[in-house]
Amino acid sequence: MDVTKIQLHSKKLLKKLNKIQKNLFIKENIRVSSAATRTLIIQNGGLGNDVKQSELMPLFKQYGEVEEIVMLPRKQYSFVCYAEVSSATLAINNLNGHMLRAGKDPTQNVTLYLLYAKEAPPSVVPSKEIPPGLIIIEDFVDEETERALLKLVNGETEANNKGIMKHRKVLHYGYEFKYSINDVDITDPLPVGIPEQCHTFLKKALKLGLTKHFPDQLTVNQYSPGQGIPPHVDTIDAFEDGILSLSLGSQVVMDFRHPEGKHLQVLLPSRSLIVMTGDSRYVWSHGITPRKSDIVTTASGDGVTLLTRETRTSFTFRKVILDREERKSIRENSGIDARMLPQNDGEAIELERQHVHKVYDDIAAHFSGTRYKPWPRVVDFLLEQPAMSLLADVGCGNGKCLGVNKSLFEIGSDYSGNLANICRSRGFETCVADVTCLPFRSDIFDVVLCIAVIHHMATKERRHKAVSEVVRILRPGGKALIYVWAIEQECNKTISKYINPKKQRQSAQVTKENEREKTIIKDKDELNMETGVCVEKLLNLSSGNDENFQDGEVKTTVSDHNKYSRVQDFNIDSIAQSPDVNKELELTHCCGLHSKHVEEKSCSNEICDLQTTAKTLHVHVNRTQFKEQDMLVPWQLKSKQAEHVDKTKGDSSHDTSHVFHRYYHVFRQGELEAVSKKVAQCEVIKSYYDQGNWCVVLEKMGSYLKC
Amino acid sequence: MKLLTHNMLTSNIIKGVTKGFPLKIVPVQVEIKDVDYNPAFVVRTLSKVDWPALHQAAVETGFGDGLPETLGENFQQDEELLKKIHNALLQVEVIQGELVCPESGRKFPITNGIPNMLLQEHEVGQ
Repeated sequence: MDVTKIQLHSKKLLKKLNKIQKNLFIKENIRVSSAATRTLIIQNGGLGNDVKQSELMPLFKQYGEVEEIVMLPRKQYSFVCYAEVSSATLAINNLNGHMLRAGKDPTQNVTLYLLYAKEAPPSVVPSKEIPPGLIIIEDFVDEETERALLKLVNGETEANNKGIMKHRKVLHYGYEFKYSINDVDITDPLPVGIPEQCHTFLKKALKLGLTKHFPDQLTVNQYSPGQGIPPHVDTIDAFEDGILSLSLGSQVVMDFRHPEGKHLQVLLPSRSLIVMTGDSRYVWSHGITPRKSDIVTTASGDGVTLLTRETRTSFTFRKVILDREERKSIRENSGIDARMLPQNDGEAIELERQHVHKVYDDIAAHFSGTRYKPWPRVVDFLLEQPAMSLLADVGCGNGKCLGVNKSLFEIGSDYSGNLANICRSRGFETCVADVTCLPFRSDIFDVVLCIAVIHHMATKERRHKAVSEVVRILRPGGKALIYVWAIEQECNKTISKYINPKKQRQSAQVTKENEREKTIIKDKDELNMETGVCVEKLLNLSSGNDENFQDGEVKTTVSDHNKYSRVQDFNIDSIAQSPDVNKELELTHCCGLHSKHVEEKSCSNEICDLQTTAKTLHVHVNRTQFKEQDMLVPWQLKSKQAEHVDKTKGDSSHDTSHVFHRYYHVFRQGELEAVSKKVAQCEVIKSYYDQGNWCVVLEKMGSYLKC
Repeated sequence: MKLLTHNMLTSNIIKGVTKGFPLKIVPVQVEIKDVDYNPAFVVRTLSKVDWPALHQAAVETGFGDGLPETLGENFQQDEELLKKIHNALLQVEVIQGELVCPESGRKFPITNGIPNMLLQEHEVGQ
């Protein structure tokens, strides 16, 4: 009888453990170990079940030396790490199914289930690293100043309810931050400027060189335990670099997130000042996860402890940018010298030099890392060519189209020496040459490829010259395949994969969309200030697992993002995660790229761009429909190497991301054919649309036809 | 740069240069890279190759021995010759050196096996 009961019990337990194991894997991506390890997962022993470390420690210590217990906020499980595997085994044998606490009724019992874990996740203790450009100064103000400041704002909030938001108390000085525009109204300053009580320490900050500007706008936020603020970047055009934030009352852990996914947790002790400058101001988002406690390292530094949050009051000081238009134009122009559409050859050459040749040389390695294989229809064309044909690939880039048909003799040429080097290193014959004056004999090649090249020529004459050169080096009867990017990113009602529908919508009706998005976010969790909506959303995306945003709205966006990222080629990291993505990428993508950093800007640039004159070259918003034929397309160089170099130098403040602008002339339907038809001895034998590109197959006619 | 590639190159893109061919090779570093011997390819490719230019290039790079100044009619049957031509066309690679325009004397550097044929704006002919 007893034996049966035990068997029944263990069967039930086994079933339960199986279910937990499955759930952990599916929902939390935690893999259970089948072999005994030093680490145990304690299901139902998490902060999410209101279980404290102090309850678990005595229980688990009975079976051996416990190195640490890792508690994760809001999770219903935790990890116990023993010094010895044998201790873990003892614990699992004795404590599996252990009832930690009895509830009012059996369903509220807290029963612990244990499984071996491969490893405990990195505990969410504050990171040792901080984002580049961030400065933290502990004990920046003394307790007396703290009291005075708190008295000031507590008096204010009681007297004036106007500033109370759904989740936090907010007060403004200098200028009111308008949440509807994520900005201040520079024409409407508040009667009360920065409070007198702040002047002493602000002057100190100025003197210490922590900031270049004396702030003129202050937002005071009061957070009760359990309140937070979604990740955001302060509106770029609204405030100067160097945003100061003083923490009073409770300590808190602030989350900093890089658009590419890096997440750092920074402990802001009471009475500390942070200054966000450079990347930490412009690239990284900051936010506070709403919870009632933070896990922090103990003072001795050898363990972790749970610190309960109390009321925290932050004083965020900013310097409002008053010369908005001027500033915006400086920012937009930075790095862009020739922004006008060239009127003549000289200007065109200069534009191509700056915004084609130099850019490709600068981004060569990164660019090459995103180009693996030729597009399928290019492959088909190559495979059709007779064995032993002589082929020239002009504008060969990293040589991704070479080597497909091994029976050909191929020579690649590219203007970029760096790309040519990459091509050569892959074993291909390569030379550095200009497509508008190719150093090849006439009438010599059986096949010429010219893929995604001619759209970089800045005048009609130069595009014609390029096609002429392609045809000139072909032998009579030889064939050329030319691909150029199309302005039409939609064909037969099929939108090319370059276009991201979401970005497109945002781009098309940026104002409306902005407002709508804001409402959503506000509904969700009162959005604090200064948030470029796109950034806000993107940053959420990049931290898709953030427990902070588990509602339907954001989840949808996350999955959309995953889907879209399949056709992006900008992010080596995300590509590297999935080999499938690599393939997909190759199949679909022409010349586009996607850059979160740039989009962040583009949201605010959009309207401005629409208003500028026709001759100006605008910066295109990646993954959206083209508005004009000539434009600059941003490429964000994310530099792993640069980061690495910085680390070795110990210089973490160095700017590791840079946006390059490539000039493009996207072709209209029929335009490539029209250019080709003007070329002597040239016949268009096929033209088609392939995933956002216009393509022609040309055949060189014998010269006798012209006689 | 293989000599077959060299055989396709010209400097007639320079303003005032009419033929620009063949470019003189001033080798600094030459390597031999093994390539599978395919007589059919050699024969077919010779129809495109300018023989005197190949001969000159082979001599300049030090691999001209056994290559005739003019190619006889029955070279296709001469296995030994075909192998030498195969070597000159596909196996000899100029890694470092210069190409020199026969008319203007303009030099084009070859680095890492890559000839740089770019011109300054003012050098470009129409």
